[in-house]
Amino acid sequence: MSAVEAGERLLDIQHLSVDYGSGDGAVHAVADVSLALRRGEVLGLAGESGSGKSTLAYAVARLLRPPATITGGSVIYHPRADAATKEPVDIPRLSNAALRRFRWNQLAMVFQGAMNSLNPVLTVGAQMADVLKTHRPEMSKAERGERAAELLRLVSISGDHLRSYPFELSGGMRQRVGIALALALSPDIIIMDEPTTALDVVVQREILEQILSLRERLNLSVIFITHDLSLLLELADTIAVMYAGKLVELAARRDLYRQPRHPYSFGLINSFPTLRGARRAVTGIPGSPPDLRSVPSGCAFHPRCPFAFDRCVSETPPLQPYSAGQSQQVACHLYDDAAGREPPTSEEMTARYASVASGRVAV
Amino acid sequence: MKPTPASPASLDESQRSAPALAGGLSSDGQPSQASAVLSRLGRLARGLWRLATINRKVMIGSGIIAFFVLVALLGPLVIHQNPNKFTTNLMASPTAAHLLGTNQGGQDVFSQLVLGTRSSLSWAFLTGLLVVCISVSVGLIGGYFGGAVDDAFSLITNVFLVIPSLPLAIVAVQYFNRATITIALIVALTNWPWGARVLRAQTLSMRSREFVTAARAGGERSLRIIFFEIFPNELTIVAASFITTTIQVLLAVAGLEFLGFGDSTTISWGTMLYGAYNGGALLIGAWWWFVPPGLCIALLGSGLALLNFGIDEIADPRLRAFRPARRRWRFGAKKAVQS
Amino acid sequence: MRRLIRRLSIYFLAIWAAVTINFFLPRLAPGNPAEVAFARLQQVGSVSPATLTALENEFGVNTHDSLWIQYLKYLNNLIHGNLGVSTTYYPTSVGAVIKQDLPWTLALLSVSVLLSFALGTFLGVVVAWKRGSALDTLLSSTMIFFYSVLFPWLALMAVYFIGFKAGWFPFGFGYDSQTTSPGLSFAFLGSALDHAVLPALTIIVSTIAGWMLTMRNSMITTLSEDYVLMAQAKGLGPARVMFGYAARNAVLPSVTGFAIAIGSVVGGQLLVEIVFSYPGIGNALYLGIQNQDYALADGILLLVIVATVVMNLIVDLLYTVLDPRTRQERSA
Repeated sequence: MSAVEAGERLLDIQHLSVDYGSGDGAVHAVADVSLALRRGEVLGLAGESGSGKSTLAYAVARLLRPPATITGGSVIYHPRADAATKEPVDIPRLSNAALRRFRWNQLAMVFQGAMNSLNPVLTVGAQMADVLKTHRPEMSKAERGERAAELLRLVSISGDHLRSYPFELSGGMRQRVGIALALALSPDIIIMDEPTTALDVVVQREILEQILSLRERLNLSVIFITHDLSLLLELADTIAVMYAGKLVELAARRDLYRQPRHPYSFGLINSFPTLRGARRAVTGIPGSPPDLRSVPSGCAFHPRCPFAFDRCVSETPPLQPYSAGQSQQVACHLYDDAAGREPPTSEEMTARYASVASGRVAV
Repeated sequence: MKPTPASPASLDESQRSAPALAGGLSSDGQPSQASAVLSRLGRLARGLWRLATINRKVMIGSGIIAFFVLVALLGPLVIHQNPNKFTTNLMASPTAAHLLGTNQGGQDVFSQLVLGTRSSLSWAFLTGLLVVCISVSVGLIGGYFGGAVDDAFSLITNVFLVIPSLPLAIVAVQYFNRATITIALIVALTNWPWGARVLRAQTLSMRSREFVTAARAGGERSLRIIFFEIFPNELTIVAASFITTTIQVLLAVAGLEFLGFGDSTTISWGTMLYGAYNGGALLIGAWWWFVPPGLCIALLGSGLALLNFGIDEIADPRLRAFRPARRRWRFGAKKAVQS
Repeated sequence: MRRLIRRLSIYFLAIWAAVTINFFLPRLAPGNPAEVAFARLQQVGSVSPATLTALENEFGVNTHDSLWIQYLKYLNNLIHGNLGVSTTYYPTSVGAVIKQDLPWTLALLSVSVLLSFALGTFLGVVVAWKRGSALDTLLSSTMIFFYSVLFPWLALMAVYFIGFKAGWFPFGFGYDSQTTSPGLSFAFLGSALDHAVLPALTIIVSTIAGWMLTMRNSMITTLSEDYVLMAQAKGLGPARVMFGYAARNAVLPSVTGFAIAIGSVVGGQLLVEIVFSYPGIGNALYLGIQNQDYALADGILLLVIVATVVMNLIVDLLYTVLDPRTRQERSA
């Protein structure tokens, strides 16, 4: 199940950087991030708002809006072995026409605002037909209608709703429509940006089950973005945790579940009550995410980290295996042999966070 | 008498909040004092100065307005000819002596233009102020009290919003004496509904904010809450509405004066146009007579419009144009160089 | 449906309010200026008793009826389409004058307003799509100037510079009365079209700015909506995204703005007609005002107000077609 070591590479993100604005006022929203998505894998991107997780995903899909621009790096897409063109493509360097063909055929998206990602004045059917008309011009009107109804059935919505306008559907149904739309051309990759956030808990659960079952049936490769790390622990194969535009931990789900290595990941997991599984004390992380215009020096997390020491202020830790030969990678000086100290255990982390929360230790 | 380019925000009034500009106008829930209002105004003034220097549109707009205000104030000191004096030098084209020539009565057009600035500008601002007073009263009282009062006020507002203001003003003005104040009053009475509608929506959303609830719980009188608690928080919208209204009113007054409803003894841009049209300026080709007054109206209006759009941009950053970063992908250019 | 009934009652009230203001104003005005007009009419002589009574009622002159009875009689006359007699065109009735002039106004108005709205909205879409570009900067600043232009002044400019100096188009009257006469002939239609160019151009240029700037703002707000991003993500062509997704939604506030502004445009057109001596009701209105022909002026203005209200109703219906959300029964 753990796909870190298995499966062919589908998407290779290398040294990707995104800035908001330019010149002196530029804000580095994503800084030098490298990641890979494998076929059939669910890659979870976690982090608080402003961590750059959404910006990263939108950069991959080339949907950034000014003043955000990609300032460096590449996103290589490797087509299926049986595809017509086997050449890998670098998404940021695609021409506009090639990009339009690439979009939705190979990479589809499910947006956060179930309410806002559907055009309010077009029927559900019309919005599905739009995609098919553009990318499958050979399909007849009847075939398009059939395909659209089939897609709706896939997400457990009756075909009658093709004639409905978005405002006539509930929030959960709209999100299902969003997922059905994403499946329209059987894309290789689906990016889901907080697909369950705006929904109430019961509906959230339903949508999640839906995604899980579709994933099982269709062998989807998904980049799943959320601020709720515990959600990813149920859903994702690989989890990437971001903080202030940087990757701070990259691990297989099982490894991260067993023991988050970065103090930030640990804090993040424990700031949400899990929907399922063992109860944990909800402690949360003290402080708030940094303003990207003035990111702290060294490890950006150091002002909030209960374990921070002098090196964290001066030196940015690289992302590397926490221990030689391990697949779990972390960007934290605690795991550096040169630090000359033992990395904290889960119990120590819990204790330290708890004492910070109760105010006994000043950070 | 112009389509109003309301930003979507102002059509969908409820969305139009008063951020940015009213940086100092936070609803702090403190019991209001006159001094608190004063200090709010002080902060607003400082904020306005900062804005005027930040946004290019605001800067150019206020520059144009300041120019016309200066001309209105000091202009009559500069001109050295009596704009009312008839001479025998009829319909003379521009010369050094008569910068903008003379009209069919031999009067100096440039002097008239300068003097007319005073009348046109002051009546536009005064009438605009009057309109805003009516809009504020109707909008705030209706929006605050709700219920039957609001129903009645809204109905009247909506009814008068449908009736076109210029034709209604003509109906009214033809029965009265031809004094500028008559025109101003009639224009004010026919132009208030739009602002009232915007302000009502804003008040409606403000009614349930904590600082209003707190004031009500503290036993403050309703009118006091309306004008000392709510009103200062709506100053941005009131200002925007004042600017828009002043453009409308400037054009409406000039339009009525053009139709001959103006006071023939007063010189204004509108009466100049009336005089030019009826005095055969077109037939003789005296462009110097009819071009300048209309140009001044359009320029002053542009100044006001620029100011308004600039404020819109500050309140809603999405409206600003991103200059350096374009949609174009940066590597596209690089690739082209390489290949 | 509830929404429509609500709007209809507002429209009804608007017309009633305009009529009522029109009735009371001459009675409120100092010295009842209508008496002057009435006296002049009597001097013309050979006025039928019925006409006299109608005018007496309209202006409250020489009548022993109570105000209330006068009001009812006035309303009754209006409902029967009796707008009184014009002193300018005596003995022609106001209704007949309007009937003759209205087609000119309507033709000019509909063509120029539709053209300017369509063109302005289209330009708004384009400059919003390319915001920050040279085109946007140029058009937006030009439009701010034209937004504040006085209709009759622009008409004067067009008459003088394009009509008189350059001689590109005729700049007075509705057709060439020396070579053609009204009828369904090519010569007449061609001449009418030729004469309509400058007035139409004036109205288009002075109203287009409002539509463009409204659409630009609305479009920019819409462009940041998720469904536009989604449309781009779907790989739809730029035209489909721009018009089917962004503009299709952004036009809704523009349509509302159209309803609010249409009255001002009609008012502006009246002024433009005057400058061009166009044979529409604007020119008739000017003559009426100059001759203190109150019946004529009032009749025309009431008609304009009714026309504005009707156009508002049409826009309301159009909005219902454009926005599916208003079709749903909801008490808003």
